[in-house]
This record gives sequence, C-alpha cells and structure tokens, in this order.
Amino acid sequence: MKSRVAASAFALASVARAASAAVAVNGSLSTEQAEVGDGIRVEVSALSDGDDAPSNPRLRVPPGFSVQGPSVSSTQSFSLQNGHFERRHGLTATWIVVATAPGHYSLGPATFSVGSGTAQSQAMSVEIVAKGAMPQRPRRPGGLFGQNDPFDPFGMFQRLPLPGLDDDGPLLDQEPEAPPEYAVDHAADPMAFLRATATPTDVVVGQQVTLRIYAYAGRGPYDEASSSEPSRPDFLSQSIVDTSFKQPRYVVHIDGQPWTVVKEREIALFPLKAGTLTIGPMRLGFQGPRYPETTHGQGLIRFSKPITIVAHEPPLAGRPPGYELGDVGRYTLSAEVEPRRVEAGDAIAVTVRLEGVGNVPHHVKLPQQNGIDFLDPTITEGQTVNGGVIGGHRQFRYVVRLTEPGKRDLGDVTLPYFDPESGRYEVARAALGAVEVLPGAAPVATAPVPGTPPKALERDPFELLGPPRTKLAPLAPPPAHLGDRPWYWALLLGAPLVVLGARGALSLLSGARRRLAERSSSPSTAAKRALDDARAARGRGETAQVAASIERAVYGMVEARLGLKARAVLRGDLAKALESRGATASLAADIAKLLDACDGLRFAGATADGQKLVDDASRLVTAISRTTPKGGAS
Amino acid sequence: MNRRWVALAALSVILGGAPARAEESTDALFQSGVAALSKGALDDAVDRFELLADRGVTHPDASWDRALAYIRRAKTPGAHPGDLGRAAAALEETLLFRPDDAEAKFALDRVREEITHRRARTRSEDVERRPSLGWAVVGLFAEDTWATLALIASLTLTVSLAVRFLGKANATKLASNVAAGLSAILLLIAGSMTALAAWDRRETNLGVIISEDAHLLDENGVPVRTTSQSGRGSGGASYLAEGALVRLSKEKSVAGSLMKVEWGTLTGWVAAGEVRILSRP
Repeated sequence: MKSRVAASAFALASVARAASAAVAVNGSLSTEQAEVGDGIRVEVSALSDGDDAPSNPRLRVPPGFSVQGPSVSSTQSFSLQNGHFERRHGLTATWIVVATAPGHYSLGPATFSVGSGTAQSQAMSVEIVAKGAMPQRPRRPGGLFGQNDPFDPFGMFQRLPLPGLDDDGPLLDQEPEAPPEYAVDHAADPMAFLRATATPTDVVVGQQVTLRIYAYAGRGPYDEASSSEPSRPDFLSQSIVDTSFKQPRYVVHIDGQPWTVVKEREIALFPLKAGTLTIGPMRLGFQGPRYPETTHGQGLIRFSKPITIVAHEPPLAGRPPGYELGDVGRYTLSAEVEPRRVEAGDAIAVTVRLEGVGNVPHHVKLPQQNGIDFLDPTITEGQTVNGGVIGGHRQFRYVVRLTEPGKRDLGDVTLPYFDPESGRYEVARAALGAVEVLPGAAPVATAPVPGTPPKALERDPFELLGPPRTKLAPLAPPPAHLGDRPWYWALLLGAPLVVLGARGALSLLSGARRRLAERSSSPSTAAKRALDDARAARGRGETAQVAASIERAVYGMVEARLGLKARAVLRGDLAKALESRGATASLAADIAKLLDACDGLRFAGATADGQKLVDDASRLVTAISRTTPKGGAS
Repeated sequence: MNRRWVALAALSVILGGAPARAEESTDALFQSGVAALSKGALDDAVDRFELLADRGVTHPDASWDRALAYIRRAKTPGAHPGDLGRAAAALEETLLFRPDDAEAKFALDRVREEITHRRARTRSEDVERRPSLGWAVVGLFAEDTWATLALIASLTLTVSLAVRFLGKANATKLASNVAAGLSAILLLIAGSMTALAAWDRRETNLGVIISEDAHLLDENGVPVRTTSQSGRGSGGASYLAEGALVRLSKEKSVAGSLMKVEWGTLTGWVAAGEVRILSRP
C-alpha cells in the first residue's frame, strides 16, 4: 500500500537559470496518497551556484487545501576546487498541506526568488482519498516522544503519515535504527553540537580520508542557519554529502535523552602534500524556538572540532619509474585501437580507459617511439561513490599519427600507483598491440607562393649539445676544502700570533728585569740595606760600623727624598735645612738628634744603645720616605 | 662523490663483478633511462632519471642525461612547463659535481639563452639579475683559492713580524713593517672570504627555479611588488626567472610550503614546488 511507504517521496527537479546562476530546485512529498484531513509534508530545496541566495519560497496549492509554513532552513557552503572558491547557497522550505476533499491534485510549483529572477520546481501529484478509506494506523496519544513531544510542539506529526505509524508497536521501536556511526557516548553540549570524524587519520599523499560531520539536536526541531564549510586547504575534496536536506534523520539516545541526528557533510578528502594537515571546524546555526541565539538571526552557533591528519609520502622502496605523487588507489587500464592497418601518415584512434577506486588520475603513461605521435587526448570521466569510497573512470581518446611504415608495436599504456591497502606499488597496464603501417603516398611538396619571402629557418639552440652519456664515469673524490680542516685555521691565525706572543713574552721579561734592577738601586732599598748592615754590625759589637750604617741610610734617604746633601750641611744648620726642604720641624729635629746620637755612638762606644738607634733610624727613614718635598723635588 | 656512490663502488669492487642487488637496480635504471632517451621515449626517460635522483643517486653523468631528456622534451609538442628550468637544474648539478665539465657549461648557457629568448616573447618587464656585492666578492675566487691566499698572507705576516722583531737595521725594520702591514690586510680579507665561502657551502643550499612563473612572495605568501623603473608608484609583481640559480635559506615560512631564496639582490620566498634543490658533492 502506498501510504505504508510514507517515505516514498518522489523528487522532481528542475534546473533554472536565474540571474546568471545555476539553480537546482528539488521537491518532494511525504506521501503520494493521503486521506482527507491528513497533513502532507511538502519539502522543496533550491541550491544556487552563484552569489545570489534563493529566498522568498512560495507554494501554489489547489483551492480547498490549507497550508502551514513554510519552515525554512538555509545553508551556505564554500569549497576550494582546483584553486577556485566555489560558493553555494541552499534554501529548503517545508510546508504542511491538508486537503479537505478527495481527488487528484497537483501541488506546486514552488517558486524561489534568486537575484532578479525566479526558479521553480515542477508540480507534484497527490491523491486524496476519503477519510477512513485507507487502512487504520495506530495513533500515539502524543507526539513522537509522548504528550510533550519536544520535536512536535504543534502536534503536526500526529497528522502526518510518517514511516511506521501504521505498524504495530510503539512508534520509537519503529524508527529506523541509527547506524553505529551516529552513536556517541555523551553529549558534547546540553542543547546541540556538531561531531566531526575522519577516517583514516594516517594516510599517504593521495589516499582518501573520509570526513563526516553530524549535527545533534537535543531540543526539538530547528532550522539550519549560517553554516560554513570546514576549511581543508591541503586537500583535494569531493563531496559525497553536501547538504543534510536528503539525509535521514535518526533519533539516538544519549545519556538517556532522545536526540535527533543528521549527517551534515560527508566529504572525500585527498591530501595534496605530506605533513600534518588540518581540517578546520564546520559552523552551523541551530535556529528554533528552543535554541537560544548566539548571534541575532544566526541561531545557536556550534562548531565541530578541527581534525589533524598525518600524511606521508609513499615509500621510496619499490617505487616504479613514472610514479607521480598522489596516484593512490586501485586501478585497471584497458585499451582499444582501431584500425589496425593504416597507411603511413594516417592516424588511428586509441581509447584508453582507466577505472578503479580512488581519485582517478588525470594522466596515464603513454609509450613513446619515433614515428608514433599521440596527440592531446579527449577525456571523459565519471565518478562513483560506493560505500563512501570515491572511484570512477577516465577515458582518454587519442588520435595517433603513424608516420613510419612497417609493423609497429605500439607498446603499453601504464599507470604506476600506490595501493594503500596492500602497501605496495602496482602498475596498471594495457597493451596496445601492433599496427601494420603501409607505405603511403609520398608527401606533396608545397611550392612557395610567388612573391612571399622564404620562411626563415628555425634555429635549434640545442643542436650542438653532446649525446647521452651511456656510462657513469668514475668520479674523483670530492675535494676536501682547506676551510674544513681545523689545522688550517690554527695555522692561519696561530703563526703570526706565536711570533707576536714570543715578542710580547720577551718584552715582559726584559721589563721585569729592568724593574728588578731599578728596585735594587732605589733609595728605600739602599736605606733598608744600610739598616740591615747596622743591625748586623750591632750584633758583632762594631759600634762605629753601626753608626756609619745608620748615617748612610739616613743621608741616602734624605738626599733621595728631599734632595738635600745632608753630609755637607753643618749639623747645627741641618734641622733648618731639612725644614726648608719640606720636613716637619719634629722630623728635622729627630734626624739631627739621631745623627748626633750616631756621633756619640761612634765616639762613646758601648755606652750608647745601638739597637734603639737602629730602630729610630728605621722609623725616621720611613718618615722621610713619606715626606713631601718642597718645590717638587723628590 | 656522493657517499652512496662511494659505497656502491666499493661494494662492486669487493664482490668482484657480482654486483649487489642495489647496484644492479641502480645501473639497470640508468641504462633503461639511456635507452628510453635514445629511442625518443622522453617521458619515460625523464621518469627513470628522476627516480634515480629520488633514490639519492647523484652523478654528473646521470644529471647530464636527465638534463638532455628535459631539453629534448622541451622541444616537442609534449613539452611540460618548466622543462627547461629542470634541465638547468640538472646541468647545475652536473657542474657542482664536475666543475670542469665544458659540455655541461655549454649546455647550461644554451638553456639559459633559450629561457631568456622564450621569456622575452611573453614578458616585457625585466627582472633584477645583479648579484649582491658581498657574494659577488666571495665568488671572485673558489673557496680554496681564498684559503690559499689567506695561508700565504699568514705566513708572510709571520715572517715579517719575526724579521721586524729580530732585525737591527732600520731598512730591514722598515721593509718588514710594510710587508707585515700588507700581509695583515690580505690575511683579514682572504681569511674572511674563506670563512664566508665555507659557511655558505655548509649552511646554504642551492636551488634552481623550475617554474615559468615563480612569484617572489613575502613570508605570508603575498606576492612582493617591485618599484617601477621610474621610481614612481609600484611596479608589477616580482618574478624569478626560470632556470635561475638561487641560494636557499633554512628559514621556515609562516605560511608553510615556502622557501626563502636569495637571487642577486632580491630576497624573498617562493613556493617550494617552484624550486629544485641541488645535490652537492
């Protein structure tokens, strides 16, 4: 029965051009057959490739239908395709229509304003039957989740022929069970959140990473608003699911609470380079009465978490010649050649088909031989998605000119690739086989047009280059640079420094010697030596010698320090003379007194205290050496 | 000589004509490249010589053949953009390993002439080509020439100083003073140049631009604009000529995937894929 298959919505699409942007409009009904008074959900989505977003959705309904809505959700997506940004705007409008009389009706078309133009869907047919004409379905007393169904605050779901409503048993038991990929252990947010997954996360460059983003809502229905795509600058991306419009919505229980979940995106990503690559967060606004707005008009904004992918280059070991980074997957090659017999100068058609799983490469390796010219191919391609895995085919049609007669083996078309599942390199290969090239007619020489100058001969700038080298000649060991040898720098700087150092050492030595000599002939030294002599003489009991030594010490110091030849001064005038040279009166008196004592010692002999005289002399010599002479004499 | 080649050669000698598997593979790859080159299978030849380079095999003869494959392909309708730049890189590599390879020098000149010739057809603006004064001076002589000059200057200075200190006659002292002064200046200059050349050899890589349109970028990946010839206003974006030999710094860019290059007086960043790093002996 048709009404048992409530999801038998059919889609009618039209592609309209409005304001120079391609707009695809898809419409669907929740059922093709309903009873009078039943609600029928009409969902129409418009997707614009241009800068203008679809807006102002309207639905034309026949007389006698009541209409509620529309409920509108919008999306905006950016993607980087082949170095160009592509932006798409989407708008989905949902109406609930209720018929009041049986009959066949045409709903729609729904129209959208896009820029200065409009886009519209095709009309959709529905059959309305009398109340009770369809088998009865058990009704739940409340919404999907009981009396206070958060997902149906207006009770409309009770009037909708939803899947499983006419089956026995509780409604929730009849909800399609969410696949395991939708399950989460805990809610990341009490109201709504986005969850992003990527598998696998450790790949080789060119291997598919599947990014999936799910939206979880815990507070009932919402419209999607202000969504943005996850950034992925280091990946080539191909969308598998680029909108949630057509995705099934499941109910999952998280922490004991019912949540609706829908897949927002499923994108096949192919790393373009090696390294740690980041997939950015996706943003989505949950707009609805039970979702507090983060920003006015944008709903409750939520972000998915960024994901890090580690991409490696495939191993160098075993890499076949001609492998190009990024050629990853599993591929087969097949080829057709026709005709197999041509005249020299004619062309044949070679069709090469490359198909398999992965981001199908844009190139194959052609055999190259002299006399066989492959012209640029015409390429047709197709893409498949099987269980979230991207695959497809590319067909290369070549025109090949054969210029040399004979039986020519065209060789093999190949494609080296890396198979991540086996972890090995493989080479897809298709043999082109042989072609018999018959001698053709001699080329017709084109005569120059009279009056035109002869065409200048193109000079080949590389005509004088040498031939290929067929052997790897032995190489001289790389030169060891002087600058890399430590002894070089030691010698460079050390040799002059050694000479300078030797010279400096000699200078220091001679200076020390000179200072030593000067010190030995200084007045202080002489005075000290004289006082030592005096002490020694006193020990021997030679009093005259004691006196003479003391006098020598004092006179020498006075002369050296005060510039006075004291021996030539009368003893009576000595004190004054010393004062006139800067000695203090007491010092001058003491000196005179000491010298008198020396005279006494020399003539009185043992009656004088020789030790005291030596001590006094020592003190006075020190005092004289500290005296500042008058008139600058020293 | 590349260490791998030394190891392979040594292994070959040890085994006395029973080459190791690795050498077989390398030699077979080289020979298959030569065969492909000879029969005009230029894509195949390029693939094989490139794989050889990917394996770390750097030999001037392999680089020469790689250059030849690129040059020949550049003349065909199946030429790839940057073929001549890659040929220039291969020839530069040949000359790094064998500086006296006159054939490679000649070919490199022809390649650069052809690049200039082709560039003149598509671009009216010229690009900065003058080398920086500092590196031009360093490059006046080879590193070991500078080192030898410095060593001679050092020995002269040593002898002059010794004579100056030991000599008694005024004429001897005067002569040794003059000799010491001159040799000290020479030592300072030649020693500095030796140190700079050695540092440059150890710390900087050389690369060749292999893109026809390598934009000079700033650290954030934004194209650098030059001042116009008249000095008024801003000129166009700066390009690095295909085939240009550039010095590569080890600095990492903010934007990633960029390499810091110095070309003449120009310094900036280019996309890593637009430069081929040269192997050095």
